Amino acid sequence: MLKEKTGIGPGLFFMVLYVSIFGFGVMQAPHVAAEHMGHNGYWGFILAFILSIPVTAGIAWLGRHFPNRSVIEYLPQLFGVFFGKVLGFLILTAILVLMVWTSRMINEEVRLYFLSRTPVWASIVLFLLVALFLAHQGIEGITRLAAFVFPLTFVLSFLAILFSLQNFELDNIRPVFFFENGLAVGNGVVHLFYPFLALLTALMINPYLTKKKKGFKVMTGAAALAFFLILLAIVSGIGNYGADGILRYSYPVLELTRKANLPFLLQTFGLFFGATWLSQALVATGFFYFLLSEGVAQWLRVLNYKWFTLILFPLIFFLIMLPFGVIEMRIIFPYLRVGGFLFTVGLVLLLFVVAILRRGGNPENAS
Amino acid sequence: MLPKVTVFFFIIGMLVLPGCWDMEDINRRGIANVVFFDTGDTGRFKTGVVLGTPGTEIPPIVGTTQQFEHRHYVITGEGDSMVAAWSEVQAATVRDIFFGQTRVVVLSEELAAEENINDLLDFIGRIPLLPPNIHVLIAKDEPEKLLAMPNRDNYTPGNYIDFYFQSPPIRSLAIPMELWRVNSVLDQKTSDPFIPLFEEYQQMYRIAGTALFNQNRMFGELSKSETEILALIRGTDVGYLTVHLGENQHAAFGFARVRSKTKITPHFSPADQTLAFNLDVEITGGLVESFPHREIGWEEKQEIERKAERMVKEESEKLLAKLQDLHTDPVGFAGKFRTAYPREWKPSDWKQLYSEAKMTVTPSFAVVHTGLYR
Repeated sequence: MLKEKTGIGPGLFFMVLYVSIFGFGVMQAPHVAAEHMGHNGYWGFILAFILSIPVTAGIAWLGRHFPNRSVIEYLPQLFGVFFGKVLGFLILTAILVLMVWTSRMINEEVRLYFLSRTPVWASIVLFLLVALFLAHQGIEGITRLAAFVFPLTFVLSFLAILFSLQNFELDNIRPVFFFENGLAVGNGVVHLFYPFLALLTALMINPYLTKKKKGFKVMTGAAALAFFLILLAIVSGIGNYGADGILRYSYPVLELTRKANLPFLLQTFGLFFGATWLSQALVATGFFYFLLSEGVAQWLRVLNYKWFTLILFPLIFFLIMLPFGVIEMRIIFPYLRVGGFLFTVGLVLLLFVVAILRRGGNPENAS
Repeated sequence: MLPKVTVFFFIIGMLVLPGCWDMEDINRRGIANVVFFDTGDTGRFKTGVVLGTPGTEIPPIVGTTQQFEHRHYVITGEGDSMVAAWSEVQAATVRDIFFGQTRVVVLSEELAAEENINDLLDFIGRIPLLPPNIHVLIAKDEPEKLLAMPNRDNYTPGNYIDFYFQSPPIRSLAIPMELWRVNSVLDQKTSDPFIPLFEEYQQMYRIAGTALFNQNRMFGELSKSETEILALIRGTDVGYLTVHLGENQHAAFGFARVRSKTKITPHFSPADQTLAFNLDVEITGGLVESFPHREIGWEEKQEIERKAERMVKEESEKLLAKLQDLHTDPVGFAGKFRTAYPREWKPSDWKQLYSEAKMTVTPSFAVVHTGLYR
């Protein structure tokens, strides 16, 4: 089985993780926050981030204890071959589902805003071909691309979201400390955890990390940076449109940045944001595609990830095309959020507990 | 294997390269400058679009001969739904109508009073690429005639109106309501929409007042002077104000660059369900006219400020009483109440509470300069 010999340092890891969390998480965040928690929906995201910290710590701890193996490889050691394989299959399915859902939503957005006459299959084929090309380049190529796009995309998306605050009304995000009940808060936290599902990728990418002891810092840093921008988008979205107002829009953050402008100078920031977000989402999709291909190769213990980027292409394309339209995607989304939260938190907790009980791993080899 | 695979997928990618389906020749694109809606004669709705005349879509330049008799033309269609009416419009031109540069959406007064504005704006709001910050206006006259008129400033109507709203000297007369803001107000239900009214004046457009809405339908209107007071209450950055001295209508002070900042504080008594609002309005302005002319010393300043405060208080309280009578809340009192009393906030009870609320306006006026004269 071919395995890349390369290693990726903390900087590259930081950027690919940031790009994944932001690219996959930003677009619907204000809608989800307003839907579940109303005017102060930002609290749900703040609490979700706080909750992501122990999850990140758990992932980093597992990374140090199984320094040279991905989660797919060490699961059979912890749970036995059968249950290990089943759990591995579930992880790969989770990554596949996340990638498929996000890819379809990205293409629906492209269809709505940019390519209204182009059939969705055509834009999906091109999108997937680019993702396939990236995945085929391997982890080093993907992380270096992430590092290449990071500075410009970060600055432009930050500016676009910052300028979207121009019609911000404080009353729209007030009262700050009024909550309907605890259940609503809990519900908000669960639903707003979804951007951090990308942290699961760290379980797979672990063998490539050169400085595993910095894993926690890097993951928390990437999550914090993405959290900051997404939080700004949530606050700006609710502050501009109001909690009820933002529920109207299919793609709230794009609408928010489309509205942002510099009078007489720049009609809209939407194009800047759209281009930078698409770049990030595409890199993230390539990253997920690679992890999925390599995960399948590890799970089946045959061929290598390059082969599986090709073998999986028709399956991924079929799954992306499966939902009829955007309404079906919206119906799936809440289940994906809740399921993703339970799976991510539950999996990390389970791995952590079982690894302690069975004294698995070899922390001595962690660099 | 890699180069072969790359080449193979590159060729496949080229074959399905998106964009071919969306290719559009720029000459075939009809750029919609204004979209308007009215009640129809043969159908329930009449809709129309202002398109730039090909070859004239460049700004007029003073001192050149670049003045066109007809910079724009209007196409209309009628039908029992917006889409039916719209398909008539599109069928009437060979150009593909493009909404990416639309500046204004206009509704007729009649339509705004008869139909739910949320439904009326639904069709136009769903169109991708329509700029979210385009202006929404209500036409005092028939929109088709109003928009077909060539204006003397020689702008296409959408550009004219867009520049008008950005012009500082008339901002207090024309409180802008963009499409996204109208939708936001309608969705939040913590205030009522208000939309500028415009009319023809000496072959130009000007703001005629403000259309007031109640339960998504136009319910009344404010005059120009009432609109200025509404702008003061809502907080404006630039405006004009004239203060008359007592009974003598010929003696007056005029102010320019009037700025205001309003703090609205609700007081609610749950026991007897009474609601009161205090409006502290801080206004500053530069004196640009003293009629009759006189030097403004300390005493005069005190007198002018007192009179201006009294005038603002009287006019504001009169305006607020009118708004309460009409059960319309363009100021956003409901939002203030919801924020201060989230547990007591019930949208269904609001109209009753609002109409009986006690409004107290406490203005403070400061003259910040007197122009070139003392």
